[in-house]
Amino acid sequence: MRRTVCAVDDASSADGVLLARLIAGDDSALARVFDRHGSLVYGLARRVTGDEATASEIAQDVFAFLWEHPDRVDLGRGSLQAYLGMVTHRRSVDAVRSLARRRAREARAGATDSLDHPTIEADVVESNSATWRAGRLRSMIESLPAEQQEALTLAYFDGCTMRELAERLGIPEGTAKSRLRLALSKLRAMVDTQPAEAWR
Amino acid sequence: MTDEHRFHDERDEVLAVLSMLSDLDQQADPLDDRALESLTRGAATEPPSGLLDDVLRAARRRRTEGPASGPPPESVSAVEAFRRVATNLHALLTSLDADEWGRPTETPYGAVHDVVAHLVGIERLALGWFGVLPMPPDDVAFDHALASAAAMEELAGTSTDALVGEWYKLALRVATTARSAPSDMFFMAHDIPASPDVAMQLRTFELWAHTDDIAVALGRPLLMPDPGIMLTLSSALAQALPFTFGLAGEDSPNAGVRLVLTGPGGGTYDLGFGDAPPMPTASTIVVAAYDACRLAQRRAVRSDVDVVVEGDVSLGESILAHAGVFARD
Repeated sequence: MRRTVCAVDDASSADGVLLARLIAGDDSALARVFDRHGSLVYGLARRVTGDEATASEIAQDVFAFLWEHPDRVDLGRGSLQAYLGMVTHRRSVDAVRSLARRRAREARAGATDSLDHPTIEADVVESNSATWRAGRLRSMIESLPAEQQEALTLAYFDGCTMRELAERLGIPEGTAKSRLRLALSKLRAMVDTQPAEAWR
Repeated sequence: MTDEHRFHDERDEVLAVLSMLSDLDQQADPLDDRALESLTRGAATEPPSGLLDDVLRAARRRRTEGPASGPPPESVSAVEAFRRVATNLHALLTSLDADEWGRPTETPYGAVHDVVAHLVGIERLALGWFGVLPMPPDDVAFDHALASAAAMEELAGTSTDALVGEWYKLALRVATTARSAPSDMFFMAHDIPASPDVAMQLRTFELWAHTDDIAVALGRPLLMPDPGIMLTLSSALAQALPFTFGLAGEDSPNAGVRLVLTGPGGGTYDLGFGDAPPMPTASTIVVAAYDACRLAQRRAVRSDVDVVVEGDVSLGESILAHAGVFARD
């Protein structure tokens, strides 16, 4: 007989039952979660990184993280799928950044010709930029004050964390956070008030 | 694509971007479902074969056994669990007013006063198991209700203070006696073969059940044992489940079963029923540890309890139906 022990409350939803099982040490529940969300996690990681092997590693990391810390999922704030999507996106962006940094070091060492071999990060930025150019987001951001535009651009297209954002802008972290929140608030207001025709 | 669809697609895309930006705050909310849908639209891709195995291997390297987070509850000894539940019941009993002692309970014994008198009889019997008091004849000792009948008759007119005092004194004596009993001691607790540990597990289940019987009669909250007690009892229950069919005089199924007890004091148990090893698993039963204990006490019925059974459903349900075979009232 094998026994694992746990100390955290149960929940009533399907996600809640799965999480309670993970907390109780039932690894078959992890397989259930993978069955339900594996294609999303793997697919999102592949989309962001553009690399199948990296996507597989990220998927392993995301599910292993869930197994290790199932109590960190707060179903009051969103579904398990949304949580996995958020973690996958963060891990994927981290992976892209890490790869970009490594390639930059290699480039500086003369090992790589970045013009002939665009990095994965460049692909991602290009892909997102296409969305940017095609949509309304760019024009909306351009209507914001310059300092807010800069904060948003660094945050999304450069993938800066809040700390990095503050360092790049040379301002305290709290100020960076306020600036970004203000910009987001304005953008949301624009999205909410624009007539449907504006998106056609 | 219609204009309406195009509108929603692009608008959702922007909302998704906004959500991702919000995530920069480390305490940010997860993506909401709509934003997630936009972000991941068309991204879902069949994972490569073997990825699930890789995931499970990676997961086991991170956490092979033990709590998901923080220290696990300390399992307490069966004697200590009994002592704590007895203390809790004593506190409840000493808070009752005169009217409450006469409240009817849903037990076969009658009012609250009668339930406590019943417990006096059972504590005396328990002291008999340990050789401290003389044992009644087998036909009395094996019958839980009959074993307490003499005490109930004797104590029918006793004051509540004296009754509580007598019961609590006996309960603490049972705990002290069990603590010092040799662990390889063996006797029949009613018709159940028992070591001192098993006997105290049974007694703890019973004390908890009667505490709840009294609480129900008084309209007071049910007892929620601390996680240490819960772990001790749920673990004991899990280990005992493979023997329930035999105790009921039935043939045991031959199958491996996973029992997942969720919530405080829970855990995962791989059990072999009959001649079968624990693995492979024919059925997985998921139930809260608290609910499983209440089923074992026959203080909850299956239809009141949220249970998930995977695999062989009839096997899982049959095992749950046998969880109460140790309860004697």
